[in-house]
Amino acid sequence: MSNSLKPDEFRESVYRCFPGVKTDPFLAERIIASEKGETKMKKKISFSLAFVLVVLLVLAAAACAATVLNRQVNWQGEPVETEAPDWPEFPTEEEDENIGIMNSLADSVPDGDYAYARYDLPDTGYAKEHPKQKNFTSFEEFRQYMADWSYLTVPAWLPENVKTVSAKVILESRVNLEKDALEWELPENGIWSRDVTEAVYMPEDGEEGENSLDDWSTGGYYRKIEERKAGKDGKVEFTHYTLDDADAVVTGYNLVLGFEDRPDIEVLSNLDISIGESSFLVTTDETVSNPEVEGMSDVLLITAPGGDTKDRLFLHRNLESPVEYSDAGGLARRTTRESICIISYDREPDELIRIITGK
Amino acid sequence: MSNVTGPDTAPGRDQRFISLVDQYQEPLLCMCCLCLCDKSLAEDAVQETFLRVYRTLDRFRGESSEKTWIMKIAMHVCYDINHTGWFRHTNRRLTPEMLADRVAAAPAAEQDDELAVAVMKLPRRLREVILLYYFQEMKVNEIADALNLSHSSVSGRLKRGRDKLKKMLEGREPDE
Repeated sequence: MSNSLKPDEFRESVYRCFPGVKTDPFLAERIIASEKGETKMKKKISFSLAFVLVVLLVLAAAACAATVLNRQVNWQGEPVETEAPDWPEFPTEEEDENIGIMNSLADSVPDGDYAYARYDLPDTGYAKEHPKQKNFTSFEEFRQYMADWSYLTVPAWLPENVKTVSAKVILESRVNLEKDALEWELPENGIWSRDVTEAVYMPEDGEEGENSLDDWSTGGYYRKIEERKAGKDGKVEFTHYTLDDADAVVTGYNLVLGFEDRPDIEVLSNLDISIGESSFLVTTDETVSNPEVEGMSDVLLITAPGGDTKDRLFLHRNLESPVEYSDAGGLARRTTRESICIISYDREPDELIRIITGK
Repeated sequence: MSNVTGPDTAPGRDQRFISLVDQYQEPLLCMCCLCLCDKSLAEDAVQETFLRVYRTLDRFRGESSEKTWIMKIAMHVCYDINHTGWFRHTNRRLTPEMLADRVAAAPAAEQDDELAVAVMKLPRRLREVILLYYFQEMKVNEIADALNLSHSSVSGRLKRGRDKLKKMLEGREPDE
């Protein structure tokens, strides 16, 4: 195949796969005008809300396989025309297994240090990245930690009889990232350096013919973490990151509250790096409304009948001042908005709103 | 290939930016489609990429080619899209059963389009280098620069990606 994979063929194949894809003849002009404050950028679906569409798709599928997803609405609850994402194949059991491994790796990193561990799943067509998280099981400790990150909204009120609290704070963006490529020998005992973030297992003598020379050069092969931990021989090429935890940036959290016999309320907040307009997928039996919530620029409440489908409250909050930082690649990021989502089976809408406002 | 080498006057800067958009929008859009497997997300990614290009145009000093620079930004944008808090949140809720229905509902690709479909099924890291090498026709060292990888890592990913594609397209094990 090496001689038959031609760029032209590739390009034509792409166009056939995405027949509606088209360039924007006014893109440059729109960006220039937007940056000069002349116009507001518009998009069909923002990044984050495209993911919300997926949430809704999945929730609806779980609730009722026969449910027809028949409309998408904007923040005002008005119908909009968008296209649902087309999904490639996803992994199955192996992903869960590896996520467990990655969590174990992250857990082995002492508090105050940060690891960014990455791996490829060899045969499932999917890659997963696991940022260091701060985990809390006490709401007070979580709230105290988040006091330093005032641009994210922390619940101001919790319903009574909360039995369990599980909070994960995401620290995925940092400044002052140092990076250098090293080549180390895999330790005999298979112990991982805590700041190793990427590893490529490269057998020196080849392994069952897999490391033979090809058209370009010696091939490198990814191996699952278990294999590397098992201490296989051969050079291991690491990408080594040194992270200054003092400059780590909290970009979101996920808080799950459990009541009696099941978790009922989930609160998510994250810095919204998307721009443009958003849309939400709503099923036939769901209703949408726009309640007033103090301090929020956009509010959309999607309610479903009965207790088998979750109600969802989406909120946007404009930040008092922009949050700016550099990502791992040194590119400047700037956001002026927080996205919040509250999901619940059993609670009344007023309760969901009160979680944010305290009133 | 010309490079941006220094600060320009505003009109000149805008004109240069327009030229970059004209030159790279189409290939970038196709690449983002394959990277993100979604047309709408790809269009967003292209817009975000050029927004970052515009904002950093003055800081680009021509240490790499324009193409490498823009592709590097695009890869970061695609990475961002795939790794927001929302995306992690949704991933945890996806089950194979649900996705099987979703995939089954998707229109079947034409036989001639198996190549693009196969590329979309590649792991992200392999997909990135395959796209940059074959679709953008970038050299291995340019890809290494764009993705912050070593030359050998890029070569390894290319080989593995090619083998996987071969396996998918020909329905047999890659040649050893």
